[in-house]
Amino acid sequence: MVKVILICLLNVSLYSNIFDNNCMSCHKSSIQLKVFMKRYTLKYSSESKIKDAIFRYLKAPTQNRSIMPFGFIQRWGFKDESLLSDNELKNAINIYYENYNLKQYIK
Amino acid sequence: MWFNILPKNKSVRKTILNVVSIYLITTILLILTLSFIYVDSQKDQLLQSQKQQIDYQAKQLINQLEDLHNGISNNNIMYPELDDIQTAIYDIDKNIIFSTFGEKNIEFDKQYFYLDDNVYFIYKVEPYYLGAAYLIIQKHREYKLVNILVKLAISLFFVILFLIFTSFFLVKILIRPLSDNINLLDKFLKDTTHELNTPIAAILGNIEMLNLENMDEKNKKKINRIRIGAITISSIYDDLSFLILNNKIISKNEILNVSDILYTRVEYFKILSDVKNISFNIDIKDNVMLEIDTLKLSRLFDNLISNAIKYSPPSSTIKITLDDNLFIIEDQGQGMSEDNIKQIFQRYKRFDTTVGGFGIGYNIIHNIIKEYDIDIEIKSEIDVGTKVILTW
Repeated sequence: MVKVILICLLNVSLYSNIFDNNCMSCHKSSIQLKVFMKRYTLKYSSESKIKDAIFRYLKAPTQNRSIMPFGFIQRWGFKDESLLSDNELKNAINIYYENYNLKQYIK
Repeated sequence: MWFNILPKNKSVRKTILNVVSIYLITTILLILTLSFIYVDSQKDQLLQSQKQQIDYQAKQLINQLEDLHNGISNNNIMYPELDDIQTAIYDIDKNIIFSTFGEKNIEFDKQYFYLDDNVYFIYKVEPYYLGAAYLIIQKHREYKLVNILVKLAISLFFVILFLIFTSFFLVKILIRPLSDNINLLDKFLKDTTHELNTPIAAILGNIEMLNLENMDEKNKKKINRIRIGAITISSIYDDLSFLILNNKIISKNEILNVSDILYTRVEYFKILSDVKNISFNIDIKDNVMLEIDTLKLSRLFDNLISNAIKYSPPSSTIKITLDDNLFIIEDQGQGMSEDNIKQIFQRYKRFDTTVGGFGIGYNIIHNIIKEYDIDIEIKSEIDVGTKVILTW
């Protein structure tokens, strides 16, 4: 039992690290990540569609796939293609959705 | 019972009941059709008035969702609540985001649907504020179809009750002239029949008392014609009085010698058959016994024999057979079609108006054989003749 809990905690910590190391390292501000989530939610509505859209953008960032307005892209440019494996990327996206989805705030 | 308001005459009673039934059925059908149209329109009207209000509230709610979506800064979003409605939001994959009425089976492909005592209105939201692609509004049903139907059924019950009473009186008023005429005819027949009895008896009695031997041939013929006429009238009188009194006399059944009675009746009609030169071919077994009323047995034979004479051509033969449990009378008359045979027992039904009569003979026969469980078989062929077989 203790082993199982330890493995779970290790997994969570590893995946958290994936998100922290690969996402938070650049974005830093959670406000920015909240804005992204608001825009994704406004456009894609459901969890699966949001995650799918983020994944597609991170794998091959283009203007069409970006959720941000043209002005924002012009100023900040596209992010580089993610070097993470699909699995790692999906895990990172899961953590992002878990932490930032709007549903959790509704009371 | 209210049924007693109907006249006693069977045919008038039947007519009234038929007319009233048709009147009631058509009126009730009309009322039901109108009721359904009314219920439908009421349902629609109520829903429309409800929907207008809900549409407005939905717009307000979507605006509030937009404000909430755009204004997220802290970690709490207070979902808007409205006074008299419950709401829910679902994402594009139809997963619940938030609901104030719990989880329900939402029929997303409809604009509205009913569940329990509520009506649910479905609105599509775009863009997806807070991820909401569908906004569901639950509103307590302001009406229940059952309530409307119950109210309608109660009203219908009283309307129909009223209709039944009014229709009976209405038909009774409408049919009164007809009913009066029938009663008048009945009374006339009863009076006439009664008044005929004495003179017929007097004529027949006095003819029998006449000493024909002292008369010349010419007068004998005249007397004979008078006798034939009197016998014919007497036979009609017997039939009419039998019909009129049929339901009022109780049968006095006794074991009778049918053979003797049949001989008497054939003899009685001999004078009529002689006029048309019709001969009888008689094969009567002696002492055939049957428990029956004398008057009814006489009426049965009289009608069968007089009919055979009436429809037989001159110089033909009528064959009469009597055996245990069997009576056959066969003529060489004009015969009847299958259709005519089917209608033969109807009162006043006559197929040949060139010969005399009221069309009551076979009706009387029918009444008697029905009472005594006597089977009748009529075999007839056009222009060949008719054979009537009675078995008991």
